[in-house]
Amino acid sequence: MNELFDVEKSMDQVLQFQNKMLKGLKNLTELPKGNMDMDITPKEVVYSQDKMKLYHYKSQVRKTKLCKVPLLITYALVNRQYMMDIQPDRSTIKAFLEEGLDVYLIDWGYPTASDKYLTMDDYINGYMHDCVEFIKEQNKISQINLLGVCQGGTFSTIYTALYPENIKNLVTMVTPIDFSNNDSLLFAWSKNMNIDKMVDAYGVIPGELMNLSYAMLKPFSLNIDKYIGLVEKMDDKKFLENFLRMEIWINDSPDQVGETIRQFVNDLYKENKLVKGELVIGDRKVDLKNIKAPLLNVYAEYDHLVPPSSSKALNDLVGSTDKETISFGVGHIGMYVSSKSKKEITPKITSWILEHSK
Amino acid sequence: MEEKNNIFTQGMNMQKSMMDMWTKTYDNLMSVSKNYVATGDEAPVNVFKDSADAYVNFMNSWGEQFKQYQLPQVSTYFNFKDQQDLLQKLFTSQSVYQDLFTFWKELAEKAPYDTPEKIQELTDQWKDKYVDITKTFFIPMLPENLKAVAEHSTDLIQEYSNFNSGIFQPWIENAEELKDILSRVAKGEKEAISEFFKSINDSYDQSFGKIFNIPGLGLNREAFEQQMQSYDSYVKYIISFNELYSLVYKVSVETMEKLVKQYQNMYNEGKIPKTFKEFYEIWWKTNENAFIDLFSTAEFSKLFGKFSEKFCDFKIKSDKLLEMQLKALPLPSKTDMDGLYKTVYDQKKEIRALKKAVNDLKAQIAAGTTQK
Repeated sequence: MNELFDVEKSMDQVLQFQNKMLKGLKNLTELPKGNMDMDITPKEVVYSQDKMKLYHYKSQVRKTKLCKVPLLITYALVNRQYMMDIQPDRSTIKAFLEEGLDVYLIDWGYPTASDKYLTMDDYINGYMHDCVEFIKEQNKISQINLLGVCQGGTFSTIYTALYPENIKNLVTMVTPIDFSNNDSLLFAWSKNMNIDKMVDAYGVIPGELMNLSYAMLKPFSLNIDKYIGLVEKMDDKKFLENFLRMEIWINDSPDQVGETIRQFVNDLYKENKLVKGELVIGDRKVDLKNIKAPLLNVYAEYDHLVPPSSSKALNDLVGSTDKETISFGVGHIGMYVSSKSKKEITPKITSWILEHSK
Repeated sequence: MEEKNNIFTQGMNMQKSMMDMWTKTYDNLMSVSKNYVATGDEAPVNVFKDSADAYVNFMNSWGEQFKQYQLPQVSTYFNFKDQQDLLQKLFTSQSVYQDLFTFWKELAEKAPYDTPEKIQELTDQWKDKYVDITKTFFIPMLPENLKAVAEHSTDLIQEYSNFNSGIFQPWIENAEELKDILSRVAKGEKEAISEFFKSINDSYDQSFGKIFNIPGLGLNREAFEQQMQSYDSYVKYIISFNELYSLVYKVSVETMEKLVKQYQNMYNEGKIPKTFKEFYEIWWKTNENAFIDLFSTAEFSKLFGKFSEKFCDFKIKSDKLLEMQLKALPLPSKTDMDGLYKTVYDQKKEIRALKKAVNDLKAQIAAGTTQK
């Protein structure tokens, strides 16, 4: 019709956009109430302390096929652990269980003002250590497998360095270890952040502030294009359900305990003490060379929160001789919810754990 | 069930009314373009203008109708807060999308704009609106309790840009440097905005900042001092916010100029986006890259750190002031509670250590290794 613009196509796109939006709004009203089938793999609370709970997932294989060394998963303090069980057909936890792993998981809960004085010492030497001791006692064993995710991976690495006798195998996923670079905006910003002032002002740092920082990392794609893209697909009920699950999870950020985040930012982001061998937890110095257990270090190639260089550094710092690094072409969250997660990532981790637990 | 029927009926009605509006618009549009073809008048830009005008009118009226009359009702049918939040974000994005369409329309309508004057004219005309688009996406994403503060603060950037009235007027008149920078701001020099806030900060420290920090006297000395310090920290917070926001403003305007030039180049090469969707893709990706570049700079990181520090200063001082004002009431303050939390925390730690000692002793007794 004219050389410059395809008016008809442009208008057709707009019409389709509006139609999809209306169908999507209808779909939105028909979504189920409650937790949207998230975090539904059967489990029970076997131990708790303050706001922390230790879950034990119900085994999904015969006892003879069950891995003899239980696996404890430690998630980050930011965001919630149900990311690993966010949708029934793409649940990392469920996949672990189906392959015969005996899974325990720590839920840190939602800290409030009364928790403001908890330190990294309390989390690692306190809660984590008590969970490990509980699992050992319940199973009458001397060692467990430990898998840490993101900040939970940093905690797990520190724990393994402090209690090497308790850990048979260590798996770290998208874990920040070397904080010296500025390859991620969070790393760069943290170095100029006066965390002492923030902790003094808030006591516990509101989760909303954390969310705001994450949303700024990709300002247009996370704040606009994501929702424009949603309209294109919201007539698909299943897609809409999964989208809403992610929205709920992304915005479900617990407040951050003041003294813990103070030490994490000052000692790690700013001073990089873990790598330098200067980090002190409680009254003990953390020496990564104490880690002798086999190590599987898993990172995401397109991680915008934890740069691959930060994760990769771990293998050269530990004392383990059996150590492996693997990467996948996914982002930080894609590690748990992408199609690769089910097809490649989870099977690889499971087979490594089973192989090393014989 | 009845509710679901209602929402379905409403949805269908909305869709019907939208379809009617659309059909009418589309028919008009097609007849306009057919006329152009029939008369041999190519006038593609005019066809586009008519199409775009029709679309904008259609979108505006439908969008307004939906937001004003239907949205509040529709929201009540959503099962829980997350769906309502999502709906809000959808409409925010939709609104940005609409504004962007108008921008695209202007851009296409006024092409070719191959002289610097024409480009300047277009960018001047769109500068404020474009920054508004950026503001639109920054602010609604803030936590509810921060929105008002941020909205208020971003509005101040406009105030600062004009800066012709109110309490600061005599101050400005006496500050030659500021006047000079201000005139550069008015001429559209983007770097001047950031310099402007730096000068404001310095001038403030040397003038009002001193007043707010003068020692208090008499019985209400402490209250007076805390109040003054609280004002002082608020002003410093606002200045640091605007200093930070001036970087965002600068990048917004620069990116818009870049897009305009990019569009002109595409026009010259006969490669302009054929649909709005194509333009939208170019728009958000160009902006995303520009903002990530900005966020990656040491300057942004430093100002972001400074802004959060000033905000925390303000929060600490205003909390303290509030506690002082509430002292007479029979309520525990945050400081009282903190003291309590600390005591409980210390005692828990002690109990834990004692428990461990008891268990170790028990184990030693059981193993017969206790030393007498």
